[in-house]
Amino acid sequence: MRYSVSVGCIIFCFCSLAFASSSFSQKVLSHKVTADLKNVSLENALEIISASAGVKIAYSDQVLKKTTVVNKDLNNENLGEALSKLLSPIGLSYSVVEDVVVIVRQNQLSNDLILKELAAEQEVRGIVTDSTGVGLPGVSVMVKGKTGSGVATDQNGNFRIRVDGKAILIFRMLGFITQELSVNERSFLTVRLKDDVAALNEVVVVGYGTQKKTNITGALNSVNTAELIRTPTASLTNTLAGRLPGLVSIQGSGEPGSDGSALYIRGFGSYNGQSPLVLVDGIENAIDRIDANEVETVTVLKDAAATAVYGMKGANGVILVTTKRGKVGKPAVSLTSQMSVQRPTRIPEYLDSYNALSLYREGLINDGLNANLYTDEYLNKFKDRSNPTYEYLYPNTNWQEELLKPSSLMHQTNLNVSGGTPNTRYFVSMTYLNQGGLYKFEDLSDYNIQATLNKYNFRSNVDIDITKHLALELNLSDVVRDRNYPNENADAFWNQLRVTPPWLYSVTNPDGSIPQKRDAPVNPYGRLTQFGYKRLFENTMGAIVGFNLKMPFVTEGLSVRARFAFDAQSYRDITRKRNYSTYRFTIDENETDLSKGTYEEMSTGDQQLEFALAANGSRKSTFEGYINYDRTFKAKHSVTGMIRYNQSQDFRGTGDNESGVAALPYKQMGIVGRVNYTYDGRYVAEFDAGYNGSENFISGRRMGFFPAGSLAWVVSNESFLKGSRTFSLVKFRGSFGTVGVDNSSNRFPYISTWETGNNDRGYQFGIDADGNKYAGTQERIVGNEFLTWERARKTNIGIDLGLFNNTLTFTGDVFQEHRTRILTSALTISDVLGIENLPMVNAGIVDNKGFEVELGWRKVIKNHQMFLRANYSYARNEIKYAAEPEYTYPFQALKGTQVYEAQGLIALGLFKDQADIDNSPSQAGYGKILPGDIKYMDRNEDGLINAQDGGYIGETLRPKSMLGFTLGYSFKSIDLNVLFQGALGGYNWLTGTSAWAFSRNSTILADYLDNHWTPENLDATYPRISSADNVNNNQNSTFWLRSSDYLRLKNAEIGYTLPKALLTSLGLKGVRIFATGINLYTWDKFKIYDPEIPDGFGSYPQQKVVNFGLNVTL
Amino acid sequence: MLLYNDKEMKKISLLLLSVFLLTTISCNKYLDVVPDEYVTDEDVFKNINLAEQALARLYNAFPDETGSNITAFTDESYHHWTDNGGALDAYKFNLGTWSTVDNPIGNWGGRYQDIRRANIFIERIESVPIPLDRSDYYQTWIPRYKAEARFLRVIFYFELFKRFGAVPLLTSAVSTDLNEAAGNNVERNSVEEIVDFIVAECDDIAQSLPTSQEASQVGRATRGAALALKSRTLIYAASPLFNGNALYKDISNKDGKKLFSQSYDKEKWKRAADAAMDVINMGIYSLYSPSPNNSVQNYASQFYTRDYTESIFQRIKGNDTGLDGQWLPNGPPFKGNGQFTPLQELVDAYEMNNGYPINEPGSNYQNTGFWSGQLWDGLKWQNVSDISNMYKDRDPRFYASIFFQYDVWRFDATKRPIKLAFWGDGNGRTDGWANGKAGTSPWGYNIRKFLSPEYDRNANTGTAKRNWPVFRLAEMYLIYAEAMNEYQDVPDAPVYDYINRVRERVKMPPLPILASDRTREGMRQRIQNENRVEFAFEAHRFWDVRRWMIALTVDNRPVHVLNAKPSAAELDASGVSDPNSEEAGAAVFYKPVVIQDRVFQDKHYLMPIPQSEIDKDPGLVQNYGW
Repeated sequence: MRYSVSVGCIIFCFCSLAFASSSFSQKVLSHKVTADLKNVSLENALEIISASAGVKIAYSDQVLKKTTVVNKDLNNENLGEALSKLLSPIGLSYSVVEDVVVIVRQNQLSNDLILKELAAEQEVRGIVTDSTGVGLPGVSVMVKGKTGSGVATDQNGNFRIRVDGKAILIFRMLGFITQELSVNERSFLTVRLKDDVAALNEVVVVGYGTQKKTNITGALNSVNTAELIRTPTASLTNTLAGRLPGLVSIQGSGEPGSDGSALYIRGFGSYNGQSPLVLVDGIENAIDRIDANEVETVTVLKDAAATAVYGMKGANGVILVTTKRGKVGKPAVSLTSQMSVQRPTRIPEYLDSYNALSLYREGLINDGLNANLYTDEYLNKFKDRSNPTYEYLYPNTNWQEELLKPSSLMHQTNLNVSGGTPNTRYFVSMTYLNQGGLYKFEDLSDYNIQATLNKYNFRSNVDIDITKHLALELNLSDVVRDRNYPNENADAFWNQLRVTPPWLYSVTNPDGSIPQKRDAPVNPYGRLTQFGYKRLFENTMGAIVGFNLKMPFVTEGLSVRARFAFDAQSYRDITRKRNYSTYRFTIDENETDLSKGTYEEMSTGDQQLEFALAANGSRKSTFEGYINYDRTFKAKHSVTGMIRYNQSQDFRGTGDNESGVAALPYKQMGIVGRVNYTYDGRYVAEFDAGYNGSENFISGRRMGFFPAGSLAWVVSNESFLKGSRTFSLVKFRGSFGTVGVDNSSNRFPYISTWETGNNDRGYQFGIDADGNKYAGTQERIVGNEFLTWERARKTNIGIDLGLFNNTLTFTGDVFQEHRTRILTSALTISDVLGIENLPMVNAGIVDNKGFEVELGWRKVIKNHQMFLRANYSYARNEIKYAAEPEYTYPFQALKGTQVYEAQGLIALGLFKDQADIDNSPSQAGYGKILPGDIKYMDRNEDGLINAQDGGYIGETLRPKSMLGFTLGYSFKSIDLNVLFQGALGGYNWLTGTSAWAFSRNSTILADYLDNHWTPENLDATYPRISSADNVNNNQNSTFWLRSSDYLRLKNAEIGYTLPKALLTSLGLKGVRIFATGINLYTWDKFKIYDPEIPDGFGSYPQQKVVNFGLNVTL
Repeated sequence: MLLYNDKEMKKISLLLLSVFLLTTISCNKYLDVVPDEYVTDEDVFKNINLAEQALARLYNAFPDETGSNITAFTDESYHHWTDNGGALDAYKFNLGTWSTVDNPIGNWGGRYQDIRRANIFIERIESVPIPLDRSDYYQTWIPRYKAEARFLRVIFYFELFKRFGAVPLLTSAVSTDLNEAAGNNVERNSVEEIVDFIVAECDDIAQSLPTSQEASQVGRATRGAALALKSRTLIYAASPLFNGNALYKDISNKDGKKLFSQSYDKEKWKRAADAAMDVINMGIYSLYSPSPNNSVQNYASQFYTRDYTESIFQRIKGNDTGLDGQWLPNGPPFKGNGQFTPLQELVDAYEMNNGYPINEPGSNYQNTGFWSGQLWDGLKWQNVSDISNMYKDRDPRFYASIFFQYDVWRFDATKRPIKLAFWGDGNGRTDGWANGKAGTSPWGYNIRKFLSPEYDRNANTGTAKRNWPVFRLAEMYLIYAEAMNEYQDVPDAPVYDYINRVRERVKMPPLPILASDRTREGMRQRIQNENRVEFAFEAHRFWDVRRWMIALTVDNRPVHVLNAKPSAAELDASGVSDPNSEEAGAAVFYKPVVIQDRVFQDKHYLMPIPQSEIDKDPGLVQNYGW
């Protein structure tokens, strides 16, 4: 069937065709046509006429003979007459249906006939599933003999089509064997498609393009939309945890609006920048603001074969996000609305006043200090509330309880519509997300201090086939984020919550004013509620326009593609700081009338909201042009090729204080390419290369060439395995190549620069320090003209297995990476030369190796569908060289350690008694040592414990293994999905003011109460109590290094799909209600705070979420 | 509806292709982003204003020991901020745990950075183009700038010399070949070479430098400054640490070159004395003496006043009160940080005002009982009572330098002088903290020297106008006296004369007084003690005990403070009815208690070259004992 634009499916899809009245058809037929038709095909003639008359003309292939040549000169003739002249001689006629002219054979002339044919049609519904019974979305359902017509299945595999009761339907989907089925007057069909492993034609996303799955030689994994939207988090990064082997995700904060995870691929291959490159629809972009509902797939590219095309950007791995695109069909509307309750996964617990002060007294006595004040009588007053003054004079304030709500709400609603005609397809999506915060007293003042994220995502992806060869894509997206926070930043405030002693202040004074003491920490209540607020507005706009031109007229399989992308972000941060007054309340403790107390003003506030504005913007533009080639010769030789040229410039937002250098654009340019040759679906060879560079290096050292070669052998396509039920898929892959990364150097590191005008480094002369004043000027950076990018040599060997008709699948990859030229300070340069900032050199070497496995199993037993998926990845690295001196004590050298290896002393436990101290190497450098203090190993064996004994400890502060485990089960209309996720092999420091008892006037963790050293408790978890910072104990040492291994019930979802029968009457296609839990339970050894927080106590905690949602499709 | 035939398609595709190719071809220069904004060395030394800033950077690097922790690294004071890095540094020095990787004041790399900056400046200042209309002005100044930079460079070398002895001498800025980073090895020069370099430079630049600077340029190097540095360098070189010190006989470079001369040379003392006399003979400096009738004030005011009569060279500092906040006692109403507690050892070093050391027969020193009389509060004399006899009739510099129990300090806010108490009830009768708060505990003394009575901390009015005194005339007098005492077998009149000039300002009786004062060894004690009290808290003592090689005694023993934190049992035993009262506290207070058992070993006389430097440069040999 050929058709002029947008008419295609009218006849077969739109079932409620009403025929136009004859007057209406007369009107259509009276349109004027002017055309000089010379030696054109009938098809072209019709198209020209269509254009000239402005009327849509529909016709079928069978009707039009290709060979018919037309020669007619039409001069302002009625359409009807023109068509008669043209068609009658060749035995055709026409008919008008609504405003469309349909070309038919003369023997089908009568309207009645068409009506009869249409009347014979009936609605057929059905479901298409894979061999295990899981519904398959996007299967095309066509009517045999009516090419071009048809529908596609929805997300659950359901379809609905109007056809003749005797029609034969064709079900087609990549990766499955096409199946034909006669309708046979049935109204409901169940179709089970068989996997077409032999010709696995499934297309997967690869760097700068797509590729048939069979032809993949590199290591990559992807996760699709159905998985992603199971975890309704505010940041897409948080939904990836546990789902992709090889991906390390670490979420450090739960603060609304900044709770994204840090992502790493295959551990850490460098001790510099380790973040992977992220591309959204082929353009470098950020991942965390995208809405999961917009996303089709997220793919991680891991080895050289997959990443070489990113050249100087790809060595840390690549994450590709592709957004959804429209498919031919009626508008499919999906509305999802969800409401979540969030509560912190874990907040560290601190002791109440009585217990904390009891321990403080113990600390004073231990330290040999005067503890006379802390009598039992005195301590009891912190528990005693018999007199109203005690609450204020002897406070016992649980700051977390007083200032935090137990939970907060989040809701999000997504509406997306997709569909299209064969030549125009669209996907539009809108999401609103509101994430609330945990703070109490949000409305206490006349402004709101609640931490809140309001996020609006808009996306419109449109594809238009302008001609049969030229296609246009237009992606427009906009993310609007409005955030609100207290003026006190989260790090500071959460620190106050932890360290402010409970005995220091009551929440407020009796009159509601803010308590404060001289030279004491601030009152967190005042900082939260009285200090003003911040509003952050941000708009991120992205536009991609692309043209794809197939050029069969040059040679079959050739196409060119050009894309232009523009990203612009602007923000406007408003800070309304308020200086507030604080008071010290004093009263005789035996007074019963609180109004008798006196207030001393400790700080004077003006109570005015100040106004400060920071606004700026950034913009990035990218141009890329492709030449693509994809052709199969003689059915056995399949060749694809790609060459891409790109250039981009990125103007980043600069602060007022930054130099003009920061405002210079970041530019990239390069040519990359790929050639893939597959013989007979069995042997695949691929060559990938990137040649690209950035403006950051000196001319001549800017561009780099990064090649990768890879091979694959699909054993299961060999004759001896073909058709095997046991081995549905056996494939071996191997790749080797080099990739670069340039993201760790400063700007223009080749230039030697001086710093001028530094007032802190200047001098003022003069008899009263009032004479000639000069700022300071000095050498700042000694440039290194030899600098260039880091280079990674990567090897990967993988195997893909599908067993027992793909019931069981397995993918395994072993990799090795040798990273060289890592930017490193040239520590080998003697200090005597006097260079303040040692220049960087391309010297560091890191080896990184590991493996990933993914195991899948699925089974259908009658109505029960089950699947299991497990993945595990492990990576371990070793720093081989770091441009450092030959250290006398090798444990001080970076060489031989791992990236993120902990540094400190090795603890040997706690001193048992004075004799133990006397018989051990002297720790006197850390102050007076007492029994119960931490005993350290004299690592350099000089009889003294000091910084020289510190060194690398062997454990890393990041996990080495990540694991994920998904269970799915569905029975009729109920579905269940559970994801466990974990990380192993990492350690956390339990250090800092928040961890060390009474450090810097702080309080003490609840865990100390029964677990600290006393002469009776020698095997304690914590050392003896000190009343202030204990220099000896408060060293980073293995004593404070705790395993951060954890396993988490990351995600659990239960859904119920309402019966169809019920819905049809409501005019709905589907309704599903579901409940989801995120981070429901964590098993770990750490116990103090969330084990995932990588560096210290963190600030705003991660959230445990319980979510209820409703999805309606129409 | 637009429909294209193949011909049109070809046109479109050609168009697209040519756009594609054109864009590609036009990008040869695409990556040439040249950051004009960067300032390079060429830019700096093409512009006299920037070059002057580069010189200011060198002055900025001038050692400034205002408020420095170094006073707590030796037998002057105790740093009791246990939660503070400064106190930790003090721990390291006091307990001998500082090391080749951990030397809080080594500053090896930092000084060589300063030296590199100076070398660059010295090499390039004369080629800076001068605008024609200013050529007259700069004709005078360019040579001076160069001389100033050379002065600063030798100051930096002196700082290295007193720490490490023999150090590599670099007189030009080495450019590094980054591809041959390992080839940048250097070796140490000998002590003689360093001293000779400093002295020669000082002699040379003294000719180029003016004797004084105009008001707006005060603070720049002068001839006096260069000569004073020469004199101090020579007295260090003559001192036991560097003058035939057998400890260092084996310290030599890999090629066998000895870094420390092994023969004692008496003439070194003479050179030092002559150099000091050169400064004295300039005749433009005199001891600062604004209140001859009030010895306490006559001495104290120099340290919160911008004095240019006695000061030969000073680091110019802005008016600030940070030091007052750090040093004032800890309790109300000052709420200072009470950073340092002077040691009882230092208190005991102050002679009686009759010129006798306290433990000398005839000194009339008593450590029990109390007296009433008058004390200077910074602005006025105040009647006081209940002052321990320990603080009676002492060298006036003691009252100007140290706060003690029931001492007074001017304070406008309360309309009365503050009566300081390290054990008191705080209820108006006395000030200071009654209960020792952990972390910032007072121990019976605080530093008073350098504090300005013109600054009211509570009202935050007034300010301290302090320079950091680098060289003052008193030092030249004492260098002369010390050097001549050592040069001769028996002290002669000039030796007594120059030490007595320093004593005379505070009305301390002239020497000789004791029989031992007539011997070289006796006078050595007197001169060392005079240095100790005259330059207390001026960052001299730490280095002096090293060059005299007495640190093994004075910094290697238990040191004492007062009993400010008595145990409950002690208080109960005081016999006072309320053991928590001020009376009870005062009754047990005047008892020296050990605060620290200090450790000093032979290897500590000189600092180790940082281990990382030894590790990266096989040409560098380590100092003795490290």
